[in-house]
Amino acid sequence: MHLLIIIDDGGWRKLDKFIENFSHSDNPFTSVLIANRGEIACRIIRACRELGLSSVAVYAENDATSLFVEMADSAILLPGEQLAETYLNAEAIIAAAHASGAGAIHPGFGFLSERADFAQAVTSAGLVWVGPSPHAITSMGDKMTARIAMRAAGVPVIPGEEIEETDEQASFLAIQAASEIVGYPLLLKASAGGGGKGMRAVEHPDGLLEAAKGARREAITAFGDGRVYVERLLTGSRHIEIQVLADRHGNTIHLGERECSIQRRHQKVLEESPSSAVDAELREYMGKAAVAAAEAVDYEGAGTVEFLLSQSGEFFFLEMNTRIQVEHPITELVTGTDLVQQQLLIAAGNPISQSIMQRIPSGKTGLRMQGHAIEVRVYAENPATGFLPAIGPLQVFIAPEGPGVRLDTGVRQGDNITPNYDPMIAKLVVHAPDRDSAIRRMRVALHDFVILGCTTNINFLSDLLSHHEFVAGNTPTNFIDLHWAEGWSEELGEKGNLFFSAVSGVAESVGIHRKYRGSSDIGDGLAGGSIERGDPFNPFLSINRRLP
Amino acid sequence: MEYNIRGPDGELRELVVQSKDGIFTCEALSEFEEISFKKGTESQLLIFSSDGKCEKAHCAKVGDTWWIHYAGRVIKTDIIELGSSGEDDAESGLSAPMPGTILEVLVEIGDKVSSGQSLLIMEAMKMEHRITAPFDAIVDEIHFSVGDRCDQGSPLISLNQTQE
Repeated sequence: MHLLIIIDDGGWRKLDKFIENFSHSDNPFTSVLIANRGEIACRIIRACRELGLSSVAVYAENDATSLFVEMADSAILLPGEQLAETYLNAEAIIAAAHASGAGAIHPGFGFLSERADFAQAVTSAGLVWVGPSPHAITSMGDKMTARIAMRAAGVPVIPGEEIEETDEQASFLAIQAASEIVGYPLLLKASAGGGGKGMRAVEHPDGLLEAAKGARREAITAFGDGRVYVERLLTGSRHIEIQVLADRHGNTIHLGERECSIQRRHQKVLEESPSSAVDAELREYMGKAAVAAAEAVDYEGAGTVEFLLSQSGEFFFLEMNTRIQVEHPITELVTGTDLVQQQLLIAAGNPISQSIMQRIPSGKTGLRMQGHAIEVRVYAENPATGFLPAIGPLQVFIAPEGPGVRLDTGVRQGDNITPNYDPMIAKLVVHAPDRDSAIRRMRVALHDFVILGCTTNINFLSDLLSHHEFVAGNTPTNFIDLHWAEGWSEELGEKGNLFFSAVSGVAESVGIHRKYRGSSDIGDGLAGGSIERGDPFNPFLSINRRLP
Repeated sequence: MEYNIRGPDGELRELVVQSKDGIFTCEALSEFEEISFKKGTESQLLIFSSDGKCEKAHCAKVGDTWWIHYAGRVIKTDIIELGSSGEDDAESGLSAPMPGTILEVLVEIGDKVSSGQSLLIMEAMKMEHRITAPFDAIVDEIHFSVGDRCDQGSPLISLNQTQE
């Protein structure tokens, strides 16, 4: 609370006391370094502030003006152009923690969050790792090992074949052989995978080799590990995941399910909790399986056990994500918890908060859920071209507000969406008493969300929220391919096309572009500093693509 | 004022906008209903219908593109400067949709390719994108090789359409 130095009156002192003081001498850390960027970095900074912890951001040069850097109590530049030199640079991040006096590292999701060697290095450096043990990350991080471990723990897994070969040619031969056992359609999955990268659905033997090559290459780029295994593709199934929390005092609980079936290119687009396909009985079964999975690896902190729920009601273990999930807010809303704060408290050695444990009905392992929450991921992408990523300036960015509406984002008006990082702009989350009212609340929120200057999927999301099959709760994982088999397009009609053309003519005539230029002057600050020269209207000129 | 505007449907329309005492109208809209416009605060444009109702649109211009938010939809149009005709259609599937790196070239010069066939694979924003032939053709030129970086809109492959 550095403001105390300046405003040292009673009011601020009271506020300081009110904040449940984390910085008692018996707490192992008072400052947290966030080894991430964007939206999740902002989310973690907020949790730190509410717990009275100070936050340290690390950032690459092209993030110098990003919101999370501004929000953090302090920020340290990670020099270099490649991700390997910045957000994936374990050594530099640990050095930054030491330099800033941070006592703990929160990895967020993506980047180094599921790297056991990083978790180990953090602990070895005398810092607190906000996450599960390296052993738990290793067991669950490798999808093949996880399958084997889960089978041993009695958790059902998807029929499939593990492929141990690492040599390119040998692995293709093994995949070929496995495909004959598993049958078509099948799914190729990167063993080190996640986030839909290194994953390919194969409908027919003819497409196998090309798919295997693509999956392997994407896996090597994204994870540095090209191993790919084969699973049966369960069509018509739903993606249901269970949130778990575990502390080192013997408590492992679940916080109900999230349904994340609505996906495109194996990346989630919409998540909701509870699922319309899960009743109290199934929730308890899946919850128990998730708790068993977590206990099997002595899990600590927040984690997610993903399942596929078949049409017949059988469920199969998919994988366990040993980190906070993108879609964690919907669970927070229906369970009245703050998962990121729980992560920090648990990492400091505390048990799961009493306020949570007290709300578990006796004889159950999970928290009671209240109301219905939906999250949509607002991506910079063009749904009309098969969801190709888009880039551009956020010249106007007006977020919806209102009761039960939450926006988690790492950008603000005037920022620029670049090809340097993930194209997710924001997560829009609503909470309402039941599913129907949550759908209505989300429709209104999407209607009011104004993003101009960069193509987004908001128009598509509005159509999705109005689709009668979605409203009816019929949401298999192939929902988008099924209902937009020919792809999605904007249907305006002649009148609509003329209307929007006329409006732009009027806007030109009124001179809105001269009067109003967004929060930053377009001439010299379009990208908040990331455009150095050249045509100010062309955001692509000086951007270099950087990959690990 | 007269404007040439390419609408969201790709159609080029000539539109005339009149203004009087800060009230703007567009002739082309009169055949549907009487609508008038007035500037609002910041990015807002106020839209009045003949029954006195007022709605709002948000507008922003980036380059020659107008971005309009109205009735919960965001729609783009392009203002075409008079005299600068023949703008290349960047929508052609053979130019790079994003800045990225060429991962694999699947064809050679002189190859006969059929519509929908994969020509090359590029990587952008950590995802792979497949560039496919929009029609049956013979590969005329390949402008990049594996490992090359390409900018958005760069032509990747030239095709000679085969006549049926």
